[in-house]
Amino acid sequence: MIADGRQAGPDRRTRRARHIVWLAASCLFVAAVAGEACAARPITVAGAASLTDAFEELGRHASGQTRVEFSFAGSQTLRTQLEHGAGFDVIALADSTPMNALARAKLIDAPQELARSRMVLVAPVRTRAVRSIADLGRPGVRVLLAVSAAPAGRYADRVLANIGADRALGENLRRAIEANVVSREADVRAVLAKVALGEADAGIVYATDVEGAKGRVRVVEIPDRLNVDATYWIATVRGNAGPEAAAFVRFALGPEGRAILARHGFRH
Amino acid sequence: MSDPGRGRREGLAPLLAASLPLALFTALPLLALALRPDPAHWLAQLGSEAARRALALTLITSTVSTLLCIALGLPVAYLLARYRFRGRAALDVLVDLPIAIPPVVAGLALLLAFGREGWFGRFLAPAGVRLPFTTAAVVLAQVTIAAPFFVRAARAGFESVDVRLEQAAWTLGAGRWRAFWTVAVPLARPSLIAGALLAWARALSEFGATMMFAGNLPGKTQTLALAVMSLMESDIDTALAVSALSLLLALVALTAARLVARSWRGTGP
Repeated sequence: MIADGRQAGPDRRTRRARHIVWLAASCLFVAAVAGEACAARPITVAGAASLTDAFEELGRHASGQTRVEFSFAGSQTLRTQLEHGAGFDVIALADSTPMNALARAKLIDAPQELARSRMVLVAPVRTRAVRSIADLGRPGVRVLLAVSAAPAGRYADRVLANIGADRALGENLRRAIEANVVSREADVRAVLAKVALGEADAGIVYATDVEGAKGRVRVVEIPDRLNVDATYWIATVRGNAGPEAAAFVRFALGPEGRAILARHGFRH
Repeated sequence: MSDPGRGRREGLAPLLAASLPLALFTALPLLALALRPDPAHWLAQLGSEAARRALALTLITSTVSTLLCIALGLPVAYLLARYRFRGRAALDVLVDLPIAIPPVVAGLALLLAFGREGWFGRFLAPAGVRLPFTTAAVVLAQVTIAAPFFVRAARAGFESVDVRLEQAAWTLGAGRWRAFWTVAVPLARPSLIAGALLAWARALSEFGATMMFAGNLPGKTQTLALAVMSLMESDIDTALAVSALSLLLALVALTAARLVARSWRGTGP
């Protein structure tokens, strides 16, 4: 009996400890779930990846009573998700093409122009390989672009086409750059992240993307004659969106929203 | 084969009914995918440049990865099955870890380790070895994600081999090395092959780690899964055809694994 008791002692203690761990874990889980469930229904804003920082600030300032939740991804992904019934209330994409397609399909209300941006080159701060657009074609330079399905990838393709058509730069440079492209990333933020990690020598991203990677990437401007005018569009989703969604769009397009977007480098 | 559960019929109907939701839940989306493109159109799409290059790259890389999984996984599986040593539990967890972490995280870890500025990558770079954004990186990503599936199956296979058979081989003068190849491996073969096919199936479908570590370039690192992602907007028909094709490959791999496992079961050495 005594021997049993001695053996049972630590055993019982470990069992009690295990119970406490289980209890604590369950409480945390229940609290987290309950917290989510009790809060008022938030509106969901689907935003192009390049709008991430600006929209998060918009969300903090816009939310009076309503909570705003964001879903950031490549514009092509968000468009596909909405076409297949994703429960967004507001959608903002980085190109007019997918927005017009959604409007034609009567999935969203009339899109309104939200902001403009342009493309820049980014390169890791520690490397010196790329100082101008012509350097992109030098042998061994590793260039990243977004996938052509994403607006940023289409804009990058257009910049390359402009380089090919340019008298001073020309078709040979365009071809050399295309040969240097090592990957087409899923969205523009992935391009930026891998350049910031130093795994590529350069990438083409929105001027407005760079802020989040300050200190890790250098910006090389793309001359205006080669650049593109990237437009962002915003709309409420049909059928789903309530007055809060319309209020968010109004806020984003209003003076306060414009100021926030301008602070993140967007133009109007 | 005296399986007490075999041949029993009572209770079958309610269990079948209870299994229906999961079966339907899995089968319906796959059916929707398989039946969406009409077959003639489908084949035409598969003839497209993007689809052909993605298919070839996927078949080559997944086969190389499977061979690597076997070469690297066999010693680990045998070690875990046969020996008790310090750190065994840690090794066990380590081997299973890639199953539990998101593949994107595994890819990011690979990038931080073998990238140009990574722990090992910075020593590889001066030697002219660059891994990220290469076909080798695709293989590495697939091996990382698929190896646990081979090791788990191979280990179970070795554990089911009676250790006394190997001991008999030793006493008959065979070295450990020879006994391993002539006794343990042949007896564990069904599990080894099933494990290899599972690893192959997993390598075929790898997306996250590949996207992160190897990037996405047609003909070089764009496997079937990445091609689907890239084609989604520009060419939805090809995206659907490529999706259906990966479904077909997965069916082939898993059916082959089952057939192999069954053909060896109960027949003995």
